[in-house]
Amino acid sequence: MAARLSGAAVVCAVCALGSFVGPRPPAALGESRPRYGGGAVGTLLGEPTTIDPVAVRSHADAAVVGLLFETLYEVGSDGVVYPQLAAALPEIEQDRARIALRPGLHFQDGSSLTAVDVVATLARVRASQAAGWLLVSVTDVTVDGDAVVLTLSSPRKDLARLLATPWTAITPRGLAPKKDGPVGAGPFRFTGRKKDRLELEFWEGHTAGRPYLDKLTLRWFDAADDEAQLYETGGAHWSLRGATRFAGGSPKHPTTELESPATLLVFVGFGQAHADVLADLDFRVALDRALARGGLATVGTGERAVPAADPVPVDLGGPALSAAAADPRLAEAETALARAAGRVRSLKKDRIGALVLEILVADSRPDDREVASRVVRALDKLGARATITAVSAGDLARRVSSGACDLYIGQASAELATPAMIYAQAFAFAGDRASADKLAGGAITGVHMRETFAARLPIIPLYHRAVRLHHRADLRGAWFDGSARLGVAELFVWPSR
Amino acid sequence: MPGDVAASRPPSPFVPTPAPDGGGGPGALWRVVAEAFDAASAEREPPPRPPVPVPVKWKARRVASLDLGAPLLALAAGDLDGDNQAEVVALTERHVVVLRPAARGLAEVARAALPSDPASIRPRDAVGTVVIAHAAGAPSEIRARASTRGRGGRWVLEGKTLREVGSVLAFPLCADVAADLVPGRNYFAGGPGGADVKDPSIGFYTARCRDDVVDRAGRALRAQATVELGGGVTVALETRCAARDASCTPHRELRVEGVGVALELDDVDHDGTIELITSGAGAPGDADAVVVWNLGEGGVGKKPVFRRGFSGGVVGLVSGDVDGDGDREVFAAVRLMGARKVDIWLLD
Repeated sequence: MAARLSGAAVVCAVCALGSFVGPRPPAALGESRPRYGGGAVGTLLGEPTTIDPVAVRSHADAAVVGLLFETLYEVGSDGVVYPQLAAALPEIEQDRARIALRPGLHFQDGSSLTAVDVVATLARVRASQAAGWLLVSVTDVTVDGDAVVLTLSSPRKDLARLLATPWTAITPRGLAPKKDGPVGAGPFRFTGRKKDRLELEFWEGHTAGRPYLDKLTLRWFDAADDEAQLYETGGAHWSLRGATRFAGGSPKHPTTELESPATLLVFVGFGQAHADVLADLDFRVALDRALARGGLATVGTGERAVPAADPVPVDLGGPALSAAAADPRLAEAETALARAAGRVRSLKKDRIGALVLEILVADSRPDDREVASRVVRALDKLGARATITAVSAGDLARRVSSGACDLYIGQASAELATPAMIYAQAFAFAGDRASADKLAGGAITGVHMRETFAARLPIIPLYHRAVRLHHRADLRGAWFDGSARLGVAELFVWPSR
Repeated sequence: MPGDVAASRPPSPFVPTPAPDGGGGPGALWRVVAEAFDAASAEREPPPRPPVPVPVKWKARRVASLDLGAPLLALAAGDLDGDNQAEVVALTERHVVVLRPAARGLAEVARAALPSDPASIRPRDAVGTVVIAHAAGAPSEIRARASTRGRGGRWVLEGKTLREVGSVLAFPLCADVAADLVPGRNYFAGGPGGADVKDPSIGFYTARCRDDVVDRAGRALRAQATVELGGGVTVALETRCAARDASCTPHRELRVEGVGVALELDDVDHDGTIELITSGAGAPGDADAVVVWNLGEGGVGKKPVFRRGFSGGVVGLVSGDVDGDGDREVFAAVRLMGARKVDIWLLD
């Protein structure tokens, strides 16, 4: 009986199958999920000089490394540190921190990402001159099954945060990536590089999910208005240097804006071409006091710029620049210069006029030329002359790392939000590993950090800037992290109606 | 394929015959007889009991503002403790939270952490599903999984404690339907019926079922709504037709466009037609709206029964008899993108 009834029900179901099409809701309101697909042409804050995580120096370097490679942890849009390649936050017991990895991790070439790769990467970071300060508290890194164990010289509450910085991004077997074919575990794969752009495509196997965009072109420019012009005419999905070439212009596509915190430090760095002059603390103090920092608030294309004499951004609790310090303090500058002149002959009054210093700027960071011109004016007040030389970002990096320059305009993104680590980064950028290690290792704390910085002036902070994103309204999901980096992997296209 | 909805026939209303293990030869014989009896019962139709309509006035009223500790992913409702009052269950990226009426709104009564197993590849925007499964002779249980974890869990409510009683690997969409996410993406693979589709671009956002309602004539009705990637929803309606009931349409499919991932199905006004309660299909972060459609015998109503806009996104919709008065209450959870705090709105 059961079979007979069931068969009848099936026959009835087939004969009475109905289908209806309903109406569409009256408005396009709502909240669905981001869609996959499409591509975007965007811009970087200059030409990236490296894709090697341990060599990251500029905002553009960090942005590119963050897309190609992955770290054990990440800092979310809420400022909280989350596990990325790691399965959980570090389990810290006394001097050991155990970090388990997520199961089934891979690199973009399909090879497995294991604890061996993590150990090798962290060992390379520790051994590197540029980034070793970051892990100065780590005395050993070993494999423990599917986990890594870090031996610490002192407890580090910020260990996960350290391991979220681009310098610690994991590479296969800890090796430096190949320039023409880097393999990482980041959300995008490298597909090519041309003179003014980088081509990337999505990677399906990223542990935090496939990025929404299929393809990404990241461009940079050496002329001040080219980026805005490209955006204005519809050639790019976002611009970091304005939406239109001229005030009053109108971009081709509806546009919205988003601004990051002002945490990107622009500074004057020192080379060794005139080592006797540039290494002299009083000369640095004289230059520092002669700068008219107040005027730096207007540099750029409308993004927030906060003049600063301290590397710690106001947005991260750093000291605000006093009104007096915003203007040149020439009396203090001349006093310091006089002290310097007592040691350095070329700074004596009758000789300083013959001193010509070269200020290097990256040609793909047009704002830096304007910044450099203000440094020239400060040097002029001291009686010295200076020239500005725009070079490619690669040349700038090479000359800075070899010391083959006088002064340069540099960038330092606040990858670590604590004053100690920001001061340490400043010393590391200046090549002073000993001081960087002391600061990063906690040997110098409290007010002594600022005193140490003032006593050495490894770099001269100029201002902290934000990054203002002008983007097409149909490009959604934009956000900045605390270091003013754009969350590119979360961008998606949502056509306007 | 998307929209290829695999809604099953409404379940039999008859309680299964007890058939305990053991008992030797007589026990085995009893189990055979019980099984045959249940099979026959499953094909029987009980006398239809037409529903008695109740007046429903759709009106949005905010009844609670809750900090759930993590972004909300999904809502479900059901009677977890057998008191004939439904609890509302909220699934967040980190917890399962049970809510009950308190004062004029809802308040938390129990919470359990999701399993700590890490997910290998998870979607960039978190996805989660939660259902309440009822089994004869056993306490109702919560089945939930969030993409933030490597597995889901099953919980029962004991007093004010949620006890985990097992795990689930697939994402539960209905009591008898589950699906897996396309690895690394924010939608489910294939169709909700379990179709094995290799193409990662084919899938659906979510599915929702309702099988404790009857049509105008009192015949058991089951509905399953499947939200497709394009934002359309297909609703499959299965009616439990008697053998000689020529007026009964056992299977119908209806379609509504522009639907978001939060939706609910229920016959809120007990008129024998199901209401489809939806969020909108706009971009994440946009303002949202709750729209109620009547799924009548002639198809989807030309105009919605109710429409209410919200400045935030509608992340969850759920109906249940939370106060035990025999009528269903419909709740919408509204929040700003990524926020831990949600506003709970009572819609009827």
